[in-house]
Order: sequence, then structure tokens, then C-alpha cells
Amino acid sequence: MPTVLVVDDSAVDRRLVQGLLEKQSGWEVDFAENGKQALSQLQAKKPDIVVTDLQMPEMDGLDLVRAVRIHFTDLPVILMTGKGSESLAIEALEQGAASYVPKSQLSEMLPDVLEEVMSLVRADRSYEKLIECMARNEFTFHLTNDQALIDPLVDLVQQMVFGMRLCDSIERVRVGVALEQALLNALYRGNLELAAEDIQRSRELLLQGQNGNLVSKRRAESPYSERRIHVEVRITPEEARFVIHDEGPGFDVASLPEPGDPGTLEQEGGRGLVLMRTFMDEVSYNEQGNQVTMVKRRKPQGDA
Amino acid sequence: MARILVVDDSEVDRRLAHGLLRDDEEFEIAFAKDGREALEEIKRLPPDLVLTDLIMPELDGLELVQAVKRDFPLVPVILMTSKGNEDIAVEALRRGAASYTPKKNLARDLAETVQNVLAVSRQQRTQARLHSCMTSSRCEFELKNDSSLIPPLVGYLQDDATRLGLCNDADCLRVGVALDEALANALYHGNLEISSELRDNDHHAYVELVETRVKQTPYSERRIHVEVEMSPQEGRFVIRDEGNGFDPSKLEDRTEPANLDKVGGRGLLLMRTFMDEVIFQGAGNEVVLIKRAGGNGDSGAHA
Repeated sequence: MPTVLVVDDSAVDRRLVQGLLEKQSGWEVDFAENGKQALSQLQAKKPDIVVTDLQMPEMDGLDLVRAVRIHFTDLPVILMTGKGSESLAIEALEQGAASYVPKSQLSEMLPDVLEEVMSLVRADRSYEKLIECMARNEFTFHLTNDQALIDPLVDLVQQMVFGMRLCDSIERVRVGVALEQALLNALYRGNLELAAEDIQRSRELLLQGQNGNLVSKRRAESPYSERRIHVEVRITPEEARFVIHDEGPGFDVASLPEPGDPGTLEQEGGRGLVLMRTFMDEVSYNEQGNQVTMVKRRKPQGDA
Repeated sequence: MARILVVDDSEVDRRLAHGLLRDDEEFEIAFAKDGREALEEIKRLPPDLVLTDLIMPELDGLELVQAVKRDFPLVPVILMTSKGNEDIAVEALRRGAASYTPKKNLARDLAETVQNVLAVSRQQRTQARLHSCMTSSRCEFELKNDSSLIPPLVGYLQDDATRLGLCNDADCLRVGVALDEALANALYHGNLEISSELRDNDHHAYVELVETRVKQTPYSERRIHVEVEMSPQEGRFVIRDEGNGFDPSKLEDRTEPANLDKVGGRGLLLMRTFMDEVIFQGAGNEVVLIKRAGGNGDSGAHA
């Protein structure tokens, strides 16, 4: 049961609110008669929400809002406003209150407003239905040279392309694999300027529990350490576009094998390129070879 | 390497926990005799995990859970429970402890519980680090007249705003309230053309009219369009409905403090107070809300 602390110096008003919340809406209601009492009760037991009057002896609603803002940062406060307390109310809203209800409208509005604010606190984090209404989603990241950041980023993108119905569950995995390859390339070959065999050797050392390998050395060393990976993601229900830019010297783009060249499979670093080209609809590099753009289009219906 | 802080007033139990964890070379173990000592140690060098007894002098396990949850939200706490303190354990779990192991099963369960919690916690930390690498976000939604879509949309935008560092938790709640008001306004007043006076005067008739119009042409075909651009410095939220709009100049006086009592002005007042700018555009059926980092909309800005 959600709990609410009701702060009001008038016994009549406290009873009114109690009736509205306890009997009609199933809240567990506690009371305080002024701000000071409210604060000491909050120390002992923190409710889910506070509803307070503004004009009270000892400590008024505005001071209570200020104190809650400092000591209980995530606790929402709702004001009950009446004639004569308007400017106090405005100030309390500016100082941190989450919403207000005019006393003249308590019975019509208070339960709804409480529910509304609570739903924002425990904001519904299940986005499934929402993502279906998404018409476009774009975001940019600046990543440090840390492989641990790649997985969560790939996860996020996979959720998006699937949720927006651009991909079915298999295509989602393939988009994830291609994106992961592009990010690993940008990190190890681009920013850290490591050859495929260096990376392999570092991995083996790491598995044997040895540190001080080439990867961690480069990660700590100038100019490699200052380099970042810039990632731009743009997803619509029709296509996803990824631009991944590293700050390394790039490579000779003309040396890339033609798509479909079977020799690519055996080439150094060829695996990543094969996966990217196979799973995406378009893969292209900038002239310098330190930026790759990949596009995944929605498959025509019935072909997916 | 994972640093684990073991908190227990009984030396025997501290030694027991140490004995069970030291076999794993990955663990580095530190000790505290009560909650207060633990908090000092955590402040000095935050551990990867706290393993605590519940009943202790000075600061007990429950209070420790609360303090860690508040000041070090990424540090998980595991409880060691014994017979007789089940109620406190449940309360501690409710307040944010990550897991628990009964003391009598420590030998069997402790190492595994610690491993599992560490794994989940590592994932959360990386997630948090990824979010701190985000530099901008833009999104567009097209919503049907379905009020159940509003809370998840607001939640989604709040998450993005927090990730980007545009606002802290408390101010995010207020940004959420303003967005909620603007979206409800677009849905009920904009697309469904239902006045707030009806809601005040006859709530039952209001609800009925909403249910009718949601299925009725031309209201049912209307959509709410939402376009959002956010950076760590600024969030810009454009919300457009397909209703007939209104004359925004007529609304101005409603935000006077004296009109706090009028329901119709309530949404606008909240939007104006919690955002830095509120601009009506077009025929009045498009509203632009702007929130700046550290702007007027932040609570305490006028102190």
C-alpha cells in the first residue's frame, strides 16, 4: 500500500483528506500538524509522498518544501493551496514542490493528482508499447577506449531496432554483431592502432591473468589515450544509420577487398568487414578511413 | 579484484565471513565493527560490495542500508540475517539491500550470493558509464489518443534527461510533471476538444465524453506529435495536437497567483514554473517547452 504523510494544522482538513485517500483510494495515511512535526516524522518513517497545507504555525509549507528538497531529495511534495496562500504556493513550486491542488477542489482532484505524481516517480519503465509509437530516435555518444562500453551500447541499439519494428528477432542479432565489429575496429585498430595479432596476443595474456599487455599500455599512453570514438545512431521505422568515427590515422580504403571477394574471409581483420557487409545493407568509409557509415533498411514485408 | 566490506560487531562472525570469502583470489576484504565505522570506511574507499549484519550497536544494518542507498547508490549491500530479525531484514530489502544470506547457511551460500550480486552490479555500473558518454539525443513520437501511453513516454524522456545530466532526480520529477500536463492537454483539450470546465463540474460526464470521442470521427483520427531534442545543456520538447487550437493570449492571466484555484490554468502554471520557457505556436495547438540545465525551472533557483 502506498503511504502518504498529510501535513495540515486544521483537524477538519486532515479528516477530509484522510477520507479521500484512505477510504476511497487505499492509501496508508499518516498525519503531522505542522512542518516541524512533519520533518521529525519523516526522519523516522519516509512515506511515498507528502501532501501539505501552506499556512501553518511552527513551520509553514514553503519551509517544509525547502527542507524536504535538501534532506529527502527524491520525496515528492504536493501542496494544498487556498485563498490567501497563492504567493506562498508559487514560491513553493519554484522551490521544489511537485504539484498542487486547490483546497476548493480537493475531493475532485487530490486522489488523481497523487496517482499522477506517483506514476511519474516510479515512472513506467516498460517501453515496449511506447517504442512502437516512436517515429525517429537519434543519439550520439563519445566513448572512451573501453571495451566494456561496447556491449551496453549494442544492447541499447538492438532494443531500439527491434522495438521500432525495423528488424525481427534474428535481424536484430545480426545488426548487433555488425555494430559490435565496427566499434571494436574503431577502438583497437583505429584509436589504439593495434594489428589483429597484437589484439589476439593481448587477449591470450589477459586470459592467463597477466596484465601489462599492449592493449592496456596503449590505453594509458598518449596520443592513444586521448582519442575517443564518436558514435551517431539514427533509427526510424524504415532504416537505421550508424556513423562510427575514431580519432586514429585511418587506413587506405582502396586496399579494402571488393564485397563478395572470398579472400576477405582469410584476410587480417577480414572477419569484421565480412560480418558488417553481410549484415548491413550498406557499409562505406570516409576517405581517411577513420569513419564508417552503416545502413540497415527495413526488409519489404513478407521477405523478412 | 573486488573489494568487499564485511560489517559485523561479532568478531567470530567477521572471521567466519572472511574464511568463506578469502579462498576466492578475486576478493579483497575489509572489516568494520558497526554501521558508523562502515560508513567511514565506505567514504574513505568505496568498496564494490558491503556484507552486513543487521543488529549492531551505534548504527545498525537497516540504517546502514539506507545511508549507502542514498550516498553510494551503486554499491550493493548483502544482509547476513539470523533467526528473530526476519522483519528487519524484509524492511532492509525494501529499502534497498540487494540480497541476503541467513547466517546459518553462510558456508553454503555466501560466496555464490556475493558472486551473483557483483555480476549484476558490474552490469549496472557499465550501464551508468555508457549513459555518461551520451552527448545528445533526439526523438520523435506519434501517439494515438491513449492516455496509458503518457506515463511511459514521460518516463522515457526523464531517463534520457537524467542520462544526459540535463537535470538531477528531483528536477527530473518536475520536468516530468510539466510534460505530463502538456501531453494531457494535447490529448483531452486539443485532440478530443473537451473543456476543463466539464471536468470540474461533472466528472462523470467528462469521463463518458472522453470514452465516446476516443472512438468517434474526427477526434479518433487525430494524433499527438512529440519532438524532443536534448543535450546536457538544454532540452526542447515540442508537443503538437491536431485539434482546433485556441487563442493563447486568453490564457495569460490564468497563471496569476490569484487564479491558482482555477483548474484550467493549473497545467499551464506547472509548465511555466517547472520549465524555463513555454511557447505556444501555430494555431495554439503546438507548445514548445524548454528546460535548461541550471535554469529557472530548477528548484531552489530563486532562493
